[in-house]
Amino acid sequence: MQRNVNNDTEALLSDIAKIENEPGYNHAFLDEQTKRMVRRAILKAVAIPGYQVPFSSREMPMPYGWGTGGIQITASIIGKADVLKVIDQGADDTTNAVSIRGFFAKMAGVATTEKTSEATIIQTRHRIPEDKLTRAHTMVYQVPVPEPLRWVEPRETETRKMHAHSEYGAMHVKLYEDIARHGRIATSFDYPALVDGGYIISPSPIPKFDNPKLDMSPALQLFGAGREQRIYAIPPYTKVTSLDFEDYPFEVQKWEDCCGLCGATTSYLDEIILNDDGDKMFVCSDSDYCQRRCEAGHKGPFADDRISDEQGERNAS
Amino acid sequence: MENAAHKRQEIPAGSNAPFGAGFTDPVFDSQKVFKIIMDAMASPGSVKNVDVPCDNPAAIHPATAAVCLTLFDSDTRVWLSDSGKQLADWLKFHCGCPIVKNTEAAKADFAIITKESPFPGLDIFPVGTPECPDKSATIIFEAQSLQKGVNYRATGPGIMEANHFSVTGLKGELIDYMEGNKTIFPMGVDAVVTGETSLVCLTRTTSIRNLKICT
Amino acid sequence: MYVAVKGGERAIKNAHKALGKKRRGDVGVKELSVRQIQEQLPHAVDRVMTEGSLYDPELAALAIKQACGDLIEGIFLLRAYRTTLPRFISTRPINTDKIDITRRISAAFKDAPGGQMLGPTFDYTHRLLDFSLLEEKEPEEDCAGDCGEDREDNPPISRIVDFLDKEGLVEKLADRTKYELPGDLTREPLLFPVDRDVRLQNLVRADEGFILSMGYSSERGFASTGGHPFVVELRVGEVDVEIVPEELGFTVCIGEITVTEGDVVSVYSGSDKAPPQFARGYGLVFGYGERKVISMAQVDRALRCRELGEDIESPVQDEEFVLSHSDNVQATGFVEHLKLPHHVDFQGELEVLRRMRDEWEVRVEKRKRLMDQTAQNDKGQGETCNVM
Repeated sequence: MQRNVNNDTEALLSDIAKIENEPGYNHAFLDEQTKRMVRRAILKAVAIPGYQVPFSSREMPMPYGWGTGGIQITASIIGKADVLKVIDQGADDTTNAVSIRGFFAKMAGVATTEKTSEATIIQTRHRIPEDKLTRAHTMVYQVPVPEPLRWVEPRETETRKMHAHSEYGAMHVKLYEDIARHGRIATSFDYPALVDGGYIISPSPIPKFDNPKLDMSPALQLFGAGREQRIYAIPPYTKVTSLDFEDYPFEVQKWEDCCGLCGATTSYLDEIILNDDGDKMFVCSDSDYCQRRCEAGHKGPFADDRISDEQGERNAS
Repeated sequence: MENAAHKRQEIPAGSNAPFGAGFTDPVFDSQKVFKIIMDAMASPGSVKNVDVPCDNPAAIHPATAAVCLTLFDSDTRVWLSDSGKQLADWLKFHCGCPIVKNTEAAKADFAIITKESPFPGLDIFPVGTPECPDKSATIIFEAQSLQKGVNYRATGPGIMEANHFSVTGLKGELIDYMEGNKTIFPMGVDAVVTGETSLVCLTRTTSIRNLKICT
Repeated sequence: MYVAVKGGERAIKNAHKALGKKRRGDVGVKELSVRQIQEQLPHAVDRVMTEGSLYDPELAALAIKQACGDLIEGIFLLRAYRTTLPRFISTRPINTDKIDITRRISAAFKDAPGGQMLGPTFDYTHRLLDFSLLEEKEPEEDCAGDCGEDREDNPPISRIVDFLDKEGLVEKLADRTKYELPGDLTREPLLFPVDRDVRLQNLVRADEGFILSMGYSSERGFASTGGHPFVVELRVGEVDVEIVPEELGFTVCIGEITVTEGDVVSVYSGSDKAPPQFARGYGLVFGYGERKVISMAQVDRALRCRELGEDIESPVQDEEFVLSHSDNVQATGFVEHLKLPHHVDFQGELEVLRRMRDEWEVRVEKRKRLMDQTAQNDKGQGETCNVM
């Protein structure tokens, strides 16, 4: 399997351009006043780590819930010198990632990449890349539900008070109920974390496998929830602790299998059903990481079964 | 050195052409300056060079002018320590921001304490509430220069071990104030300290220590 | 094998193409023009304008065409376009006292100054399919002739609720001639509790179906207070839109828009501070939309419980519940985002579930063994007892 963006990208982008690149749109779609509003909210978010800053999210040309918060942040910070990477489920070639990348390539005229190392801004849904991030990276997370206490208390008026007074007991009770019922904390993604000992955040629904990467990350991490109208942030080199208990310490997922393509044993793996008998294989969710490992000669058990790009495209369409 | 590359000019006080030019390219220049401010806010205590030219009124530094042009508009209420007409007119012309009255500092979103003004006491500005700590002011605080002078060491979120910066002509009360400001977290104000064409940010989470004086 | 992972740019491209084809339908049939939609599907156009927060019948008709008749998709298109428009000035509040009426009814009074005027309405039509509409035909009498709707020189029409006001039977409103710029939730995030101006804006933009159902629920008893709602007045017509440019300092009319406005009242039993009286609910939409206006006014009335000191017991009185879930562009986006791949999170759940499942089986097995053992013991004991 070849995961590189194929030659059709250009054709697709010009297609999107026909629809969206109408004359009269500003750089990166948003008008300057909206950008200033988002920018001021970002500065507040960075200054108050983990606090959800309300902002007046705009209607974007993509639906709410499909990354509008992340898109508004990216549109407000991106400039000519930036190189943008967009991933969804860790992969650059998932449809929504392709669509968002195409939007910015056209509306902001910026360079895009699939390589984590080349990117300055990485907009993501549900994953943090496997490669170590640097101070040169800005992570932009698409967040569906920014309120970590939402499943404990559905009312905004109440959760706001709970955050104000660090009343996080209910959150611990919820996690502990898991332990009482299942013998373990059953939360596998969107695992709550404490930022710099202050606010509890929803790390967007990344798998808890990625939670340790939030801690002391050299990259600035920005979180945007468009529909819920919130922006929050974790500054670089900030302590982020996943909630746990002394007798039930936080732990991440492990797989018995390795990546079928590149043989990686330490990456987050997606499970793929191969046939009607239910046979399956596992592959890296981070497509860039996997591909570089393949190019470097690493081989997993299914490495030789890869199908050609054209065939994949034919089947996909 | 940093000034040499810039084609910016100061608008003299009392000039008949009081407005000067804003950014040459408002869209991309404000993006560049915002990126600088964001990086500075994400790494408190690290001095950033604002290498984007714009004309500045005599009352404020070029770096202050760039910050204003980037962040202010009709939705931001601005409090000024400088009662001169030129600065207020310049802000109204370029940013369209409402200027709040001297006595209404509690309504300000931003405040500019110019290099020539005395320390106004920062207690007059909003610090937000426990529920809405973002309803607080950001103070743009002018020093003479960020090239040399008193050395400070900053630690806290955003900072790997420690960031060091030097300031000339900073009213010492600011540092004391920011230390006190830390104790009311999550409420508090955030500060952008400017000197000539540089800036450094100090947030409500930043610890600042005065190191020995050197010149 | 193994193609599901490959999203594929070609797939998106082909999907766009397929959508274009579906939109056009059978090419043997003449293409539907935007003008036709605008003229002949006015209710669809009005709903898209109202919930899209933009008064532009042509663009609303275009949105409906582009959305293949999916009105929520059309509303979304119009909203996304609205985002990009610069704001030049805020208009003066429209003055519906000076409305040029095409329909006006009151359910509270048999007659009132200005009279009742049915105008174009589905009311009192028998809902029988009109098979004559199957055929395209030339305009006939019912399209050209006088239907008694043109009133001479349109004198201002009294507001019926004002008659109740004069008698002190309906709550006093703030002075209508005084004007403050209302809040705007397209520019400020929605934060609770909200004032009535922002609530009404939310309700105008809200999904018609949602508001209809919430209003309906209040009528069926899921609102403990407020009594029976009365439509004191419903008016449809054209109003002037005026601005006062700062450099001119006087009012300039920049155009006319059609609106539907409604006053609904219900009994408020009073409090220590206020006597028993009728409390108001208000509705207004672009174009013709009286279903939305009445239900909006019902919901507005129900949501006034906080300011009126009424008990909050029902969903329709719960401000955070109603206003947070009323927007169909937000709702549809979030519900439909479930179509996006979630396999990373799903993988996490699979892993947890499999482990929990294994542990459950061990637990159940253990319990079964334990119970078998206990039963065995009991049996043994029972026998012992019998012996004793």
